[in-house]
Order: sequence, then C-alpha cells, then structure tokens
Amino acid sequence: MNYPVWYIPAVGGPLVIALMAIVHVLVSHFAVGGGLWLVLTERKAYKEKKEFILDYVKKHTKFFMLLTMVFGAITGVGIWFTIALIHPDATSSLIHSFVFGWAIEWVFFVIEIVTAFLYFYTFKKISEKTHMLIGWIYFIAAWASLFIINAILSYMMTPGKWLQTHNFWDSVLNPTFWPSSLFRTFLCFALAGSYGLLTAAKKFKGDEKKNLVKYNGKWILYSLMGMIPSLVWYYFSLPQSAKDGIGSGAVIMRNSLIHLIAGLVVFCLLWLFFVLWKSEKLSFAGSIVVLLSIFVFFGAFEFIREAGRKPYVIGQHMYVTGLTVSQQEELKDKPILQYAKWVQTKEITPENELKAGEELFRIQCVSCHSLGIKNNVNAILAQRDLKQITRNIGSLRGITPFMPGFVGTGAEKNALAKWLYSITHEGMPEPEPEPAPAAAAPDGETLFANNCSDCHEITGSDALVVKMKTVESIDEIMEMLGKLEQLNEDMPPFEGTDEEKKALADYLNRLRSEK
Amino acid sequence: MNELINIIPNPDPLPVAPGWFQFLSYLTYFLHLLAVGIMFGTAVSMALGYFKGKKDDSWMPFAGRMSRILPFTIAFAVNLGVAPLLFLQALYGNFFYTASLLVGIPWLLIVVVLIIGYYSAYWLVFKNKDHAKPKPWLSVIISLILAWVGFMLVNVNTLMMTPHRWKSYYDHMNGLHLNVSETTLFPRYIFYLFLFLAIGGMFISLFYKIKDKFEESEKGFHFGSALSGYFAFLSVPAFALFLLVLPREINGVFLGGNGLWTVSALIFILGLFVTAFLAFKRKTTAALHVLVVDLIVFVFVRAHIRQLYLDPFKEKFSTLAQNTQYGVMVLFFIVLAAGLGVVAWILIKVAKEKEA
Repeated sequence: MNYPVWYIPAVGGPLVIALMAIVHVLVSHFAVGGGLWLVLTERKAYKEKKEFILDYVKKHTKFFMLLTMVFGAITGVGIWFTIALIHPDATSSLIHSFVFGWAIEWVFFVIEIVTAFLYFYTFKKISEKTHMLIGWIYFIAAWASLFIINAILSYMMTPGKWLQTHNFWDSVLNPTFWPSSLFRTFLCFALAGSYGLLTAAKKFKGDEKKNLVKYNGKWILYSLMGMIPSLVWYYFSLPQSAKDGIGSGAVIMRNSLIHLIAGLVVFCLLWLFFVLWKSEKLSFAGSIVVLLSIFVFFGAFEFIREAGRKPYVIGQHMYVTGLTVSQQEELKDKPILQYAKWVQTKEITPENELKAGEELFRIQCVSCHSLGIKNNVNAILAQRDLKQITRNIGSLRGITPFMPGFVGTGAEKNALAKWLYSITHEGMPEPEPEPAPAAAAPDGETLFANNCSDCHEITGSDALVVKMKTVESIDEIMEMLGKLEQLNEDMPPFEGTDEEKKALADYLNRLRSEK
Repeated sequence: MNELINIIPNPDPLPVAPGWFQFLSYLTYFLHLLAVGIMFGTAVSMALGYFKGKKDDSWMPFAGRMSRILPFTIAFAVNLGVAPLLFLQALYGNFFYTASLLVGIPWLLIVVVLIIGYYSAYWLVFKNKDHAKPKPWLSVIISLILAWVGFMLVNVNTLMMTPHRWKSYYDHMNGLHLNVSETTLFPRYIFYLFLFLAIGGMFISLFYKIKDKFEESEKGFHFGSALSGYFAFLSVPAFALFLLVLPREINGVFLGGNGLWTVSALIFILGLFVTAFLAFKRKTTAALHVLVVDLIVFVFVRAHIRQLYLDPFKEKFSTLAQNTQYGVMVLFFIVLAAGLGVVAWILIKVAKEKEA
C-alpha cells in the first residue's frame, strides 16, 4: 500500500521470485558445500598420494569458481532486486533491520571472491599447505555468508523475541536460527557429496571410481546424520501457526510434503544401493537421479518454508500485502483505497467500480496471485458466482491459513468481487430477479451451501460440526448466527432474513441432535 | 508539492545516524567507481584489441591479456557495487525501490544479461585460450552488456531523484518504462561512460607500467595512456553538459551559487584536464594520483547533486530508530578490518611463495 505494485498479472510476482530463488539458493548452498569438499578432497589426494584425485579436485575447482562467481554472485543480487520489486515494504524493513548484517556478509563475499580466484589460479603452483589454507579460508567465508543470510531467513519465519524488543540480536538468535543453520550446513555437504558422486560416476572406472564413490558416499552419510535430526528440530521449533499451515492439508502443502519425503527416501535408498552395496554399478544416469532426488527434497523444503510463513512475509509482523499486523488491524474495515498511496480510484462510484476492483486486486492480491501461470485465481473463481466470490473475499482467513484477511469496506469488497467475476466470467451477472412473494419456505441445507460451505463441510472434524456438538439449544445457534463476525473475525455476518436464519438454525440443530 | 510528498513511500528508521551511512556509501561508491571503470575500460580495450588484431596480429596478445583480466574485474565491480547499493537503500530505500519498480522489467533483465556477459568473458578465457582467433563481436556484446547495466543504473538513479516523474507508473504498471524523457539522463550516462574509459585506460597503462616484460607491454602502455588521456579530456565537456542540463536551482549551486561547491566542480574539471595532460605525457603515476583525488572530489559533488534533488522531500528521509545498532556497526568495522587483513595476508603469502 506504501509502494506502487509491479503489475504483470499474467505472470505474477511469486513466479519471478521462485525462478530467481531456485537458482540462487541451489547455487549458494552448492558453493558452501563445495568449499569444504574441495579442501578435504585435496587433503585426501595428498594423504593417499593419488594424482587422479588431485586432478579431479582441480576440475571441480573451476566448476565451483564459475558457479560461485557468476551464478552465485549475480543471482544473489538478482534475488535482492526481485524481492524489492515484489515486496518493497518487506525489503525496506529487512534492509533497515539487517543493514550491518548484510554489510558483514559482504565482507565475507569479498574474501570468498579473492580466495576462490587464488585457489583456482594457484593450483599446483604453491605449497600444498598454503593452497589448502586458501581453501579453508574460502570455505569459512562461504559458510559465514550462509550463516548470516540464514539468520535473516529464519527471522522472517520466526522473529521470536524481536517482535517485542526490536533488538538486532533477538532477530538473529530467533527460535529457528540454530536448527536452520545446522540443517542448511548439512544440506550443503549433501549437495557437494551428491555432485561428487555424479562426477566420479562419469569420469572414472574400476578402483578409482570405487574409491571416489565410497568417499562421496561418506559425505552423504555424514550429511544425512546431521540433516535429518536438524530438520526434525527445525520443525519442532516452528510456531504453532506455521505447523498448522504445514499440516493444513492444503493441496500445495500436501504435494510439497510428498515431494519432501519422496525426495529424501529415494535419495537414501539410492545411497544405500550404490554406495554401500554396488558402488561399481553407479552409472552416470544413476548419479543424476541421486542429485535430482536431493534437489526435489531441497526444493520441497524451501517451498514448505515459504508457504508455511504465509500469510506473513515477516512472521507475525508484516503480511504479504506489505501491511504490518497493527496496520491490518487498524485498517480492517476502513476504506483502503483512500489509505493506499498508489491507486487512482479513491472513491467508488457505479462508473468506476470495476476499475476500483482491479486496483484492489493489485494492492491486495498480486503479491501472491496471478491471472496466469502461477497461483492464478481464474480457475477457482470461474466456477463461482458473484455472491460466492464476495463471500470468499470476506472470509479469506477461513478459507486458507495462507491468506491475510481482506482489508477494506463492504463497497470495496463488492468492487473487488465484481472485477474478479468480470474477468473470470463473460461480463457481469444479470441482476437477480425480485423473489416472488409466495416463495417456498427457505431450505436450511441450501442456505448452508450458499453461506457456509465455502469454509465448512459436514464432517466430524470440521470446526462447525464440532462446535454444534457442544451447544445446548437451537436458541443458542440462533444467537450465534446473529454474531458470526464476533465469534471469528474471518466469518462474515449472516445477511439473510430472520426466516432464513431460522431455517439455517434448524438445519444446524439437526447436526447437534446427531451427537 | 504536497501531492508529490504523499505518493513517496514512508521510510523505515535507520539503525545508526545517517552520517554513518553517508560516510560508508561515499567510501564504497568510490571503490565501486574505480572497479567499474577498470571493468568497462578493460572490456572496451579488449574489443578494440580484437578489432585491431584482425588486421595486425601484434594486437592479439594485448586483446588476450585484456580478456584474461576481464572476469576478475567483473567479479570485483559487482562485489563492490553491493556495498554502496546497500547503504544507499538504507538512506533512500523508499525513493530507490519506487524508481526500480517503474523500470522493473529492464531492471531485472540486468541479472540475465550480466550472467550472459560474465559467462562470455569466461568463455573467452577458457575456450579461446591461445587467442588465435580474434573475437571482436563477442567482445562488443560483452561491452554493450556492461554498458546496459550502467544505463539501467542511471535510469533508476535519475528516477529516484525525480518523484514528479513517478506518475508515469499508471501508464507502465508492468515496469516497462525507461526514463528517457529525463533531460539529464543521456548527458549523465555519456559522462559516466567517458569517465569509466578514462579510469580503465589509467588502469591499463599502470598495469603495463608494472608488467613491462610482456611482449605487448609497450603497446598496451601507450594504448592505456592514450585511452585515459582522450577520455579524461572528453569527460570535461561531458561533465559540463551534465551540469548545464541539471535544473537551474541545482546547477546554480555549482555555477557560482555556492562557493564551496563551485570550487569543487572547478577542481574536478581541472583535475580531469591535468589527468589528461599527464596521461598524454605518459606520466602514469602522477596521472593516477591526480585522478584518484579528482574522483574523491567527484564522489562528493555527485552526492551533493542528489542531496539537492531530494532536499524538497526531506520529510520522507529515514530518521534514527529508537533501537540503535551502534554495537553491530562496530562489529561490522571489526569484521571489515579483519577480513581485509586476512585477504592482504594471504595475498602476500602467495606472492612470496610464487617469488620463491
């Protein structure tokens, strides 16, 4: 609301962030794991006096140098640019909170660059001891970068005591900082070992291959021994709201969990098969599957972390819309178009209602949704009528734990609903005919379908059904229907007639009596 | 004015007094300016070397040397660009983010094209090892990519200082906007390109002055000196034009309105003349000293121009936060000193071993 919105509805911001982040996150973790892998593998070469291992390390050095220098560095800047385009409020908040954290990270970046160049260009040209020392410095600098960035990432998930104190160290030492640091560190090593496995399978045969497959296998084993417990620790360090989001059963979350578990299981099984049992059988294709499985696992983890943080961009502090929690509370029912700096429609009239609707979509929805490729709203809304869309907007938190509630007046909600309807259907609906005076008595089940079924269903675990089993009488249900918005801020008030309210209460009462 | 102030996003508070960020941004911007000049000068010299090498083989070792140096220069130019951008965002993030949003697509394209340019630079080193074949067009593409990045930065920098142009957002919400209607854009950009080539030429002449045993050393030294001389000289009218097209209330400060800033601008111009003269005379060390001092003056002049642009919007500047972070800033200085110490130590150690 503070900044203009970069508006490309056909693509959507999340897709751009995802593309940039996938590349950068993979590369940066590779660079860290690769740092330790290089120096320890070099030590192995000297210890075993095996020239082929030294050559093997040298080739990897070039790969890691190019990867770090080009992809790592540039996509790192790219992520910064991208989040500033999609979430400028959050970026500004993070920069002002962590400016010296980032500045320290920049110093490590300088060291990383110098030592990466030195390590590559002095290979076999200086003493073994000095060369390995350079390798150690490179690794420590790369890991220190990860350590600092991880502090910022974990703070965004779990700001912890910072919410009260606004103290820098409280934001760094947040509840998930240590488990996340450990998890990412071991993940870096697993990635490096998996890549080493791939190059060993491709370049070598016989005993040389066996030697290197076993060696990289050990990397993976030790990584898994640290990675799995730290992942569990990470999960248990999450706040209940994030755990609820992860366990919400939402399709995207369920699919990600399946990917996470499947990736890890396949990775472990392949490791057992190829490293412990048939190391000479490891083919190039097999090693690619190993690498892909850890990518899938890693990608799913990052996706779950990102989604689990929603509806916040900075946990319990700032929503994805750029509004802080206190601003959201303050503006909940206020005219948001008048508050937002970057909209042209300040007052809604019948003539500009659709334009206002689009502006509301722009300032409240496009940080997560598109009308095209990723997280698009078209498919879902095309199946809903205007009334349902309006009701959905009024109860976003009830529909999914990943969305912040709608901010704005009833007229603004209607404008957004009409605009969404107009782009997902052909034109606007015909005005509803006046009900015939002698209409049939309202039907409770239909009223439930029209008013409640977007968020509730008649199953034993549904919050409404559970609640119904605790009420004592139909009068209590009538009373509840009269103050839905007080019972749960995400529920819109019941807007039917008294007769309809009675019919719906009768229907719900039947549920109660089934207890 | 009120309407303009209203659309400027509200800033976040600063963890230490703004003066610290100004100091850090001037310092790191100066280093970035040097690194970018070296990078751009090297890229253009490489391209020119390859073009000359098509007709005259004796230019090939020079072009090859430039191509081997280029990836290092890109790495440091990018790295040294991170710090001033960080401190700039601390001071003027609300202006900067809004400007970058207006040019979102070409701004993000920087990432894609820079990766292409950077890899191409490495490709020239690793796949064209013996430099048997001139690669003029690839070198031109790399130079154009680097120039494009500069053009985008000038776009964002000019946009962030001119909120009255931000209303164009409603015509380009997709970020497909360039600030080409801004009068100062091209004079500013051309001045920078000239200044970078002067810095790059100085670097090349200094490099060959030190490394005088290569077969192309003499040729390279003269080429670098000439490049530096010509472009330091050309930077004078370019800077004058840039000053003249600035809004009257801003350029007036440098054209007699304020003694200190008028003298500063004159010193900068004079410094460019002296640099050019010394470069033409092949007095590289003296020219380098003058240019470095001159660039320090320029960093202050440039910052003051921005200050004058943004002064009317002072109320949208970040103020000091209640929870300050002076301790963390001290930690940063300690890490910076230790980091630079480690880098220096390892470089000296390697140099000694190679010597031995």
